[in-house]
Amino acid sequence: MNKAQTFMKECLFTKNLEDPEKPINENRLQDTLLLLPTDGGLTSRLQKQRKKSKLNLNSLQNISQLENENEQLKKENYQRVNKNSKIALREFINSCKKSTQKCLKLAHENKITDRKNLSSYLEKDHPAIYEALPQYDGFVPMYKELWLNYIKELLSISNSIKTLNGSSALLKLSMADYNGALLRVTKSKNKSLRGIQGIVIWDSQKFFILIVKGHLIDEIKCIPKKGTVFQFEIPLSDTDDSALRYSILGDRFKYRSVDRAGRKFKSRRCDDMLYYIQNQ
Amino acid sequence: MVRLKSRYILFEILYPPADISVEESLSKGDILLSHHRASPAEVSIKAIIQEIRRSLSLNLGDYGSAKCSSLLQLKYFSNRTSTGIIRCHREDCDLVIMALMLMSKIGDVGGLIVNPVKVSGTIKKIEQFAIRRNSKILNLIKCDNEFLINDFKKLENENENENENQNDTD
Amino acid sequence: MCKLKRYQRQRLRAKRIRMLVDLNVPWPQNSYADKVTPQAINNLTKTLTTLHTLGYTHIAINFTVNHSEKFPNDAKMLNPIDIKTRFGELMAQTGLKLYSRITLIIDDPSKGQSLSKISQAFDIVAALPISEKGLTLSTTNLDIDLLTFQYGSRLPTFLKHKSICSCVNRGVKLEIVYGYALRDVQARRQFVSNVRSVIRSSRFRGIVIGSGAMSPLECRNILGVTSLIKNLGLPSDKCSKAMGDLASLVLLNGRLRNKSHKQTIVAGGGDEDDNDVVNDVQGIDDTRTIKVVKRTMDPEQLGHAAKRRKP
Repeated sequence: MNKAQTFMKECLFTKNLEDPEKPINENRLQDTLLLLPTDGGLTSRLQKQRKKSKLNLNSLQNISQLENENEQLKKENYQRVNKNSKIALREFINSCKKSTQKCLKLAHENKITDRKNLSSYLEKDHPAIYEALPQYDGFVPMYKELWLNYIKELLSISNSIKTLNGSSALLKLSMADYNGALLRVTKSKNKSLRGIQGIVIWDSQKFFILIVKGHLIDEIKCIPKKGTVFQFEIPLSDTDDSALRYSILGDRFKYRSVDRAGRKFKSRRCDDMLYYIQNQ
Repeated sequence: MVRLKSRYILFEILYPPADISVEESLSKGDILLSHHRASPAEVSIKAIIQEIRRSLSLNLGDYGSAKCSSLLQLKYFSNRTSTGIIRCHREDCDLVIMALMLMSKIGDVGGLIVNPVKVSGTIKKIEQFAIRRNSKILNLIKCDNEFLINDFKKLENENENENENQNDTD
Repeated sequence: MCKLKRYQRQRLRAKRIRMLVDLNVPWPQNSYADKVTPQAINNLTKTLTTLHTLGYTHIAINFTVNHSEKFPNDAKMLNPIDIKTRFGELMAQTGLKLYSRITLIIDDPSKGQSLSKISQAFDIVAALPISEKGLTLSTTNLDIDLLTFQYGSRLPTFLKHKSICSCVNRGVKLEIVYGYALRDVQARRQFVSNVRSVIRSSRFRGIVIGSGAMSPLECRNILGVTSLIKNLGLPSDKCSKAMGDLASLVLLNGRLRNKSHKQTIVAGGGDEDDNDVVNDVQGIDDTRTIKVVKRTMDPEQLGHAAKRRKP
């Protein structure tokens, strides 16, 4: 180490530098480079603000114009509406669940096992509960008329599937909207969810909220996407019995439909999806 | 005082069809039938135990073979069904199975797979398992060849009828 | 009575859960130029039947090819293993599920072609690096399901924890081929040392076992293989998973690549047993990735499965 240093001093530094003992002149640094503490950009911000706050006739006019435009563009208290809609949805789900529970209890107490009898009984004696019950029949047109037509148009199916390209159809389906679709849970980590079938009334980030047709009354079910596989079918024609079948892997589908539209999905390791191939 | 713990290994000898050129039928029963065959007389208890010892010493060396051979014993072997039961020490069970797996011939008989099926702690359970397993396989073969058996029955019936007719005419 | 029947049905289903997977049965062709003799096919079917008697349910037929070789341009020619026509009868008769797999021997990474086209024709894509460069390439950025080695000869380099573990974390599994242990003494010696180094470098994670059986005599059942690998240092629970769960995950990963859009929407699937991407070998149209079925879902049906079944 020392030897190398002397070698460097003798052979290299003497040739190139003025003072071989001190290869780096400390004064040199101080001459040119100055380091000063900063205020984190406070002064420049203050200056800007001062400029803005200077009152001008022009600036006043500009501001008033901008405000007018903004009011026109903005929907009235948009955020509040959005927030309120969430609360409303939650309230709707909760009230539906409560009323179905009450209803089932009543049915059990009065030993009613028929759908028609129950509805007439409720209409007569408990109108408040009856009105709060979710009605499956009301959502059927949403599936039949809206969603089916939408998805057929999306995949451009018209009675024949010969022109259908499988991979592009899959791509389109991954970005499609599933509000109103008829889904069935085929595989799930939670055994009691398996086999439930219903129409989607809301496709949230982590749940599909389904309305399910029951034996006595209809119910609303929130089914988590995590650890669940859903199946849906697209009937090809009204007369024929054939249909296209697809499955949704809920584990990879945990996005809101709005976010999903422009999203690039990525394949991941699928160690968490062992339940999908095991037949329990 | 700790009891001597042992394990019993149920194994079978499979004879996969060796002739490459012959095509065979692919039904479940036929596949089973072609694999399960009676062993020839050369495959005796003595030959098997010798072969196991040789495989042990070949694959595991002196140390392994000596370790395993303390309790090694062939409890049962039947040439008819080519199944057998080996007794070994509990700790060395894996080594014995490994030796069975790495065997490719017994004595001079080649072209076979020694297939360990089940390990158990008592010989009773092993026997029960073997009986259940064999009856299951038999059922499979029967199910698969049902139409054949039915055909045989039909033929027999027809023959009997003909015989009766002949008797009547006589 | 009803309860008893339900119990029996459950028992039956419980027995059907077990998947035993063999990911490596060699296809008798080493390049696209080779010809397949009917004898070789016959040998292969015999191997498959033997594996079936040993209890395997899912088997992948492995086509090994050099990565730098010229691949045919036609997408139909890319896969020489014509499973549906050649082994369709076997699958229908025995209930075996067969898959195609390609193993690319990677020597010089600069010469190879892009994988995306090749991977569309096969269910599983594996890499077999024979040089250090090939190993680094295949552990870092190749889109593969499996990493295997030539266990009969020396490994290309010393396997490092870091590269192998990062590879396993990506979802790529390591394969052990036990067929080499049954051939000759030299191969067996090399096999033992190679397997030990693979197990060590992967820290016991993501290991899958395949047979690599050239003839029916090289097939062994799960009990024997487990004890062999257990003696080589892999914990026994990982051994049994290596032929069941993890191997079926490889199948799932491979099938999802072709039959789904980035693992979100899958063609096919359904309520009945054996109806997912892995088990549904025959139903999904391979070239167009769609599945046409008889309609089973109707908005008028009841929402619960148990009630739906009742008339």
